[in-house]
Amino acid sequence: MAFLFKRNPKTPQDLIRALNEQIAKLDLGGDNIKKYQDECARYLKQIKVILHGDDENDPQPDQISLLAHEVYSTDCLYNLIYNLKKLDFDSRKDVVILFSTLLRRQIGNASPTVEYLINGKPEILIWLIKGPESSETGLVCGQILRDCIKFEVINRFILVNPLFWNYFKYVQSPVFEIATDAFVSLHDLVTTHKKLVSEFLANNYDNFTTSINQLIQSNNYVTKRQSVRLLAELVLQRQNQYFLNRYFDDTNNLKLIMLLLSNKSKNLQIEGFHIFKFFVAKPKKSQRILDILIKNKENFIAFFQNFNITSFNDSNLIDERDYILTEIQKLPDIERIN
Amino acid sequence: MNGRIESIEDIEVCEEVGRGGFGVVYRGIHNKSNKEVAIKQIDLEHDQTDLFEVTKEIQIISECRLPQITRYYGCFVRHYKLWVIMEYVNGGSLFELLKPGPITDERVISVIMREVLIALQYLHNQGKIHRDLKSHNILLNQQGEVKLTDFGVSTQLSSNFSRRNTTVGTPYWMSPEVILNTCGGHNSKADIWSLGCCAYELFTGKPPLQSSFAPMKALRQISKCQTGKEFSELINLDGLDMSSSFKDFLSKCFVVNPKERYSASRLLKHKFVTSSTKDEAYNVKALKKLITNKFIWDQENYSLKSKHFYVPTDMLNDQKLWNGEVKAKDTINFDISSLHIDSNEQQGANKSNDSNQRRLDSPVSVRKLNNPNDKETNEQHNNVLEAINIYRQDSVYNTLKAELHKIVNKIFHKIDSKNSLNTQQYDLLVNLNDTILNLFSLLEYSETTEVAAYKKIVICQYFKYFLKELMKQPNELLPDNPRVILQKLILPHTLNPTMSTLKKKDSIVTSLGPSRAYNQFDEIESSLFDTWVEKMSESVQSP
Repeated sequence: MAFLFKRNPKTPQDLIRALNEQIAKLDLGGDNIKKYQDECARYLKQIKVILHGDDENDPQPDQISLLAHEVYSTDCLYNLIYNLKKLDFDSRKDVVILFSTLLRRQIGNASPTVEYLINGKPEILIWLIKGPESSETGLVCGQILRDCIKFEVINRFILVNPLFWNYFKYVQSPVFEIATDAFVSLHDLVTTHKKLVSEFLANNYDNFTTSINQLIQSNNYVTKRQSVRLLAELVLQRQNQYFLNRYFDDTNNLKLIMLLLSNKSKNLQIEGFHIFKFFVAKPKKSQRILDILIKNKENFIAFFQNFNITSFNDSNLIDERDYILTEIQKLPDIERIN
Repeated sequence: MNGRIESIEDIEVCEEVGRGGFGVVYRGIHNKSNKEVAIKQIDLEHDQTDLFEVTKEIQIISECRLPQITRYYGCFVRHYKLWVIMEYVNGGSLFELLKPGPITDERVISVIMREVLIALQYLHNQGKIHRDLKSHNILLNQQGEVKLTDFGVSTQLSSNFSRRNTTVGTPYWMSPEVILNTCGGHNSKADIWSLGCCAYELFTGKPPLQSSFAPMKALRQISKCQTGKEFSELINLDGLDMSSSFKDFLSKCFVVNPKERYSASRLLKHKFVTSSTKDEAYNVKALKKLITNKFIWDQENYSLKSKHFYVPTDMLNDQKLWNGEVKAKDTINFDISSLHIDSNEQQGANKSNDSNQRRLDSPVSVRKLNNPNDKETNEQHNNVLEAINIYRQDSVYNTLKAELHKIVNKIFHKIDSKNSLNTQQYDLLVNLNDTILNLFSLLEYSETTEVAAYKKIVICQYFKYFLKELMKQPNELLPDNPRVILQKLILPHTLNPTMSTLKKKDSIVTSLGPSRAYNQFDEIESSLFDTWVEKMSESVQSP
């Protein structure tokens, strides 16, 4: 009953200060971990009420503003992220709520939180990027990171950081949730801000293609499917023109995609088809690509005539298959180039 | 059990405990802790499975840790299947437990409501909505604990303010705003309406309106209600013999405007819910009693199902199923063995069928009667009349139906035990058997007086024509004639007209090697891609 006698923090500033104190104690460790955890949980719940209101009360903008200011000036977000593992399971999710609410808060056109993360404490972002390294807190970090990525400056910050390339490792984590969560992050990082991404892909064509091709060759069915799907999404983006031109001129890519078509899994064949069709439909094909297509003309025709996709109930898909089949039939026969 | 389960080595798979559109659920044992677990196998290659929805789902369940919610232990990918390991709840769902009859003790309902509300409060606080709350998704274990499960359609909301604009749920449990997609669509309050429906269901045995309306009509009725009072009248709440606090609890759930509807935290303070907190030992006992009652009821009604045990599927098998190849291959093997049988023996088998077997007894006799080469059409007619006389009497008709039932069951079990059927195939076969039995109904002819009483059975006619058509000899007896292949695939060798003809010209038959693939796609695919793969792996290695 001790907490009944304890003074409850009155103002948002008091609340943040009290929270920071408890986190500091948690950080030191000791026998009373559980007690500090409970205290942190309690304060985080109160913070959540200030931010989102509850059944009786609506959130008050001035209270939120006071709270936000105190959070920045005391590096509360850093303390929370740094000690995320020490918080209890459910409190970690309250940290996500604190982050996402603060991120959405705007003054004019500027988001003070984004400004703080980029110029004040970029260490927080580094921690978040490394999130998938811990299976305990990986999902929580992933959620916060994706909230941050919504802002182009942060997205850029991550893409130019060498740590970004770790995501191609993280998506292969043996822990299923971590791997898939990392994939969602990777996906958001290279699809959210089109212009930024097109620039990034143009500058990093080799690295990126090598990395994603490695994923496509993975033995894990889910990794394979997710990575082909991501690639298919990227090649659909017109802004990625430079990347597309190089990608569809590379015979190695075509070979990998043909391997996908020959995969036993129907779904992988279809994902592969969504990339393969661009190789065929591209107006100016390089000679080397053309050579491969012509060499396999008969094979392709036989394959696509039997490419059974009716069970997917997708009339677009059937149209596309028929179109690709006609295009392939238009290719010169192998005798003529001999 | 605190550690995660990440591999098949950690668990032992036991019998099947459920099936759904997503795949199969098995009971399993965690080797280290010896605890029971539920293993959900999701077939990721299945057409209807959205890989990305599934992974989202896993994220959501992995974020829930509460005694009132079935615990997630981990998952892993094995071939085309995702194995999701969850807490095993051994008492069954409330839907099952309601079968012996509704719950008359309001106190029990109150306890169940409290536990579910704790679960809902937990979810709602995290911005999660269950979206398909009904008695099927509330489980009980033998310790008398209540667990919420199956987040098949739950959605993660990024904050309490966002909404999802899609209609999911099950009609009788759906709230007006979900049906009409008003008030900004789905929010956590939709779960509260559904909870009210569950409480009603526990008390009466059925969700509101189920006994008076078909699902779609019920939706219209619910959506017509402008106020909670109208809904209460519609479901005749006043006519139910329940305490006033229970009635008040329901009226707080059945508020049409979601903003005015109570939240989970507020309902937890309602006196109907708080009244049950005094004697927990009694509560546990009462909940356990539900399970015992169901057990006794099952025994009295012989409704214990036979248990299917898990048979591991290897990748190849999975893939064969995908291409619909298994059935073909099996039959081909069957047929090849038949080539060793002496042709005299075959004829002998045919002759033995000449005895007075009736048309309905077995496909063999049907074949006899419908053999196009059979000149004794009179005999056929006599046989038919004889058969009519027999099944004119209802009792005999029922015996015949029972016999047919036995046959289709036997076929089903044979197929099921010899092949690893996927969920869809399993369900379709069950449906097929049902259809066959339902078609065991009499056709009536009244064109001529002679056959005024001439009755035929639909399904038997169907089989008859099917076999007749199938056994027609094609013009050219080439082994790759599709009709010949179908005959080979369907008919046992003793019945196969073409086979016996081919046997005589044995040069053709011998060319049918065991490796011959009848599936066009596979044949081309394998030859095409073997060469590709070879070429490509060469060039990938040495660019």
